[in-house]
Amino acid sequence: MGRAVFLLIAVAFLGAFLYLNVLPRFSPQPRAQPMRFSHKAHFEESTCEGCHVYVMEHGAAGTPTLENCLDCHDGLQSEKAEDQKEEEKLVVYEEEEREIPWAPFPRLASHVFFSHRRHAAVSEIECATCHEDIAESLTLPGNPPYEFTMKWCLACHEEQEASTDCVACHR
Amino acid sequence: MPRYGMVIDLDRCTGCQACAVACKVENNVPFSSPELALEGRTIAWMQVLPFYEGEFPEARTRFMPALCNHCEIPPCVTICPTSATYLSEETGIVAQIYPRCIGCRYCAVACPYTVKFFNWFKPKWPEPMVAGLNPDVSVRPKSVIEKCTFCSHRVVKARERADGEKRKLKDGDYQTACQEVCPAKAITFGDLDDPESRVAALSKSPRAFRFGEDLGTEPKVYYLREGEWDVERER
Amino acid sequence: MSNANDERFNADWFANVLRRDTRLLVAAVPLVILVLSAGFVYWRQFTTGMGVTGLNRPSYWGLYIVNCVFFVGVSAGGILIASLVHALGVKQFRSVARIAELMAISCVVMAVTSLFVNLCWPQRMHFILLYANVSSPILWDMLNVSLYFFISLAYGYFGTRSDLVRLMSIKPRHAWLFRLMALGYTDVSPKALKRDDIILRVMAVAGLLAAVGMHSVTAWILGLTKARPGWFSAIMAPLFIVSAAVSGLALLIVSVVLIRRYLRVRIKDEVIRRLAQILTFLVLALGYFLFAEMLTVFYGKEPAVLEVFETMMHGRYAVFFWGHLLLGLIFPLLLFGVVLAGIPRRWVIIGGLTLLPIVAGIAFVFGLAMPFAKVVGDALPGWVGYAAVWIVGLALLQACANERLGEDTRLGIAAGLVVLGIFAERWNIVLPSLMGHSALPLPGVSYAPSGLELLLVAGIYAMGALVFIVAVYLLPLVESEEDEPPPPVPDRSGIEGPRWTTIEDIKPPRWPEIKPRWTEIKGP
Ligand code: SF4
Ligand code: SF4
Repeated sequence: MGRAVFLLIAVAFLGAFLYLNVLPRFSPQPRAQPMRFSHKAHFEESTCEGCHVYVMEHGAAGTPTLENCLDCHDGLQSEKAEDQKEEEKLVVYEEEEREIPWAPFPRLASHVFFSHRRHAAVSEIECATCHEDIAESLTLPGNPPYEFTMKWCLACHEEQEASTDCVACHR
Repeated sequence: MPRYGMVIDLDRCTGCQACAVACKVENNVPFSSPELALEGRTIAWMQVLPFYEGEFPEARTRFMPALCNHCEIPPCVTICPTSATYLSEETGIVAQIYPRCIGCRYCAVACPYTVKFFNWFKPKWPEPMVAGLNPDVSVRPKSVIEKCTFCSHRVVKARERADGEKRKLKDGDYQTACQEVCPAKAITFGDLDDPESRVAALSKSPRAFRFGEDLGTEPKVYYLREGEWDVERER
Repeated sequence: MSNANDERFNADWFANVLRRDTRLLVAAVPLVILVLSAGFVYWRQFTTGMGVTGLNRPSYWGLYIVNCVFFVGVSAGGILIASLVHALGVKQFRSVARIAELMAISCVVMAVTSLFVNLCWPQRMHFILLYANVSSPILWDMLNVSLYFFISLAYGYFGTRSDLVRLMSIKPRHAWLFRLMALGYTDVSPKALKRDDIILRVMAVAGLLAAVGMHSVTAWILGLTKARPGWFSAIMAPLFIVSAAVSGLALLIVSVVLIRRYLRVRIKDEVIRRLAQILTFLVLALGYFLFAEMLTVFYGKEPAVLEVFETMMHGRYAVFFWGHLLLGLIFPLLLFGVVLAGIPRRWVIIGGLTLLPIVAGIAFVFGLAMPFAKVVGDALPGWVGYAAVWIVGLALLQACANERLGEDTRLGIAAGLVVLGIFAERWNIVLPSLMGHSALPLPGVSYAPSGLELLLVAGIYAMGALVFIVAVYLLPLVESEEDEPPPPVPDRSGIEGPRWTTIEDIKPPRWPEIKPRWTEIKGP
């Protein structure tokens, strides 16, 4: 009986150790974003292309550069104090002549070929079809907000009768 | 559906190796070294093979650019246990899907032309070269097979461009890197099924032959034997 | 000499089980070290890439595949013998059936491991099933080998469990162990034994089919590859099956001789002699197959195939070819002739010396290079070397055929030579076809296994040996028989009499009453 209790406690300790110390090392840590950016607020004023400027022309849609931001943000325009605090960061970046260190998600796997232009401009697919309701989000995600798996891509390609040839996307 | 193929005119080939270099640069193929070459571990999707003929006064060297023949009945595809190498229906390209490959090297053994290459180590480049890697082509991990893909990333781009301009893909839209650089214009590339294309016309030349035709692999790379030119047809 | 170890053959049925034997322990320690270092090498290979081996283009496959093919063969041969007993009821070999099964299991473990280390992406192994390509021989080989593995395990289990139940009451202190190994089975009533017999018969047939299937598919991995001259031939699968039977039987003889010599088990001389007789015929059949293949090649003169055979016969690995022919075929046959058919030793010498000019002549006509040129240099013409090898071989043969060694040792030596010969044959099947024989004029890069590769392979061997040692410690090596007739009355008139007759009081097999405790617990 005493042995069983002892074993139970040992297992519990081991489990706790694994859960607290080992597991986190293998699960992705949220990455810090430079600021609390609200897609929702920006989408009300602008379009997707307004900030992701290459979405219609290139493979990568691009993240806004400091210059892109400063095109609109001229000084402090926000009304709420907490928004102003975020906006001030832009000023600091400008003074320090630094780019905004975005942590973009999701990253494309190196063996996959993907072109935003092909999907958004040529085939005229809505951004929301893949990027879901990112336009509604109030903060930037720290972890990939969604996962694009091959199965998921293929399901749509099959539905739309787009190419399902491996080399159409694999490279 | 197009069926891409290549014609290499051996009469025009000067053995300058431009195609071999262009291929390496285009496809992020790691460099070799004399030691690696001695070990037989060089990777070269496109190689210019020398053939030596005759004794000294009458000695002669012939050149033959050799690459994957993109066989119509590819033995490498038949035996791959995971279908990591497969014959693309849409283009006729025999492609290699790296994340699927388990590195058993069976396909390399089964290819009669020995044009599949194995990544014995993780590929390395000198530091300044890393920035020059082609972003359209993945850098292969260690322990997968790789081979000529007929620059398949270019057909993707060419298709995208053509679709953007709302037109069909035409002969010459999709060119391989080796074809582009060949100073003697020995390499022609295009759709073999398109009766208009230059490559289809050349592949029917009486000089045309294919490598190991008796093997029944139906290669899509044709060679034009050295000999008299049919000037009218081939200009 | 021959009477000294009589007791061995009349040992207790279960004498070897759980016997504290320091020799086993001493043997196990270096084996464990080898396996561990092989694990390290595999890790190196996994993290740095296949470059740590000696493989290259065009020798994409090397020692690992040779090994795999070899052990698949040995394993298939082992099952063949075991199923002779259980499926066809050849009672005579009953005493070696279990050793054959054990050998089959440990060899299939080695074969699978060799195949496994040849792949570079263990984490993608499931793709073979997930994205199965039905036209790929590797898929079928994998399915067949795993099927075979499970059948041979099940076969071993059903064949052993009644003995395990008996052991439970003989060694009550360790009954839990045997109960575990018998998976809780306790029934040894005559009815159950009969049922076991039928199960065994079915399993034996299934195992035999799986063995033949597995080995054919392994042969087809090579034989269906038309790109490789020398592989692409219809004789591949039958040739593989015959070599499998030969190598399995030969290794079985070697292990039986060794086991009998060092552990006490009840195996009679006669059994070994019988096995050796079968082996002789199989070796002859193998010779016939090889001849058929060679004849086709040299008659057809297909340039590519011819080139492969030329490299095989006087290229870098010529030693393997001629070694197989001489040491793996001719010498064992002569040795079997001397031991089994009683050909006087001096005839062998006389015959051998008569053949000497022919051997030298062949070497001269074919222009064979000096064997072991790296060691002895190539100043002398090749035929001198071959004549010297022949003479040395004859001398060794003479020494091996010496009566004083005892019959079993001589047969064991001959069988060991056959095993080595088959390994060389496998090498010759796999490698010469790979090296630079494609439609492209490749610079010939030859292949030699690297040190790490050799270490890994040694680790795989050690693993097989460990499986065997553990089994020797835990399992009764010889199937017990209740209905064995009493041995004949000792006959001391001839020295050559069977060995076991000299012991007067032969212990009857100890059949304890089987009363496992747990059978007495009845329900309410
Ligand atoms: S040339 Fe070799 S690699 Fe290329 S398709 Fe044919 S068999 Fe496959
Ligand atoms: S090495 Fe890769 S591509 Fe080649 S047969 Fe094996 S899994 Fe298929």
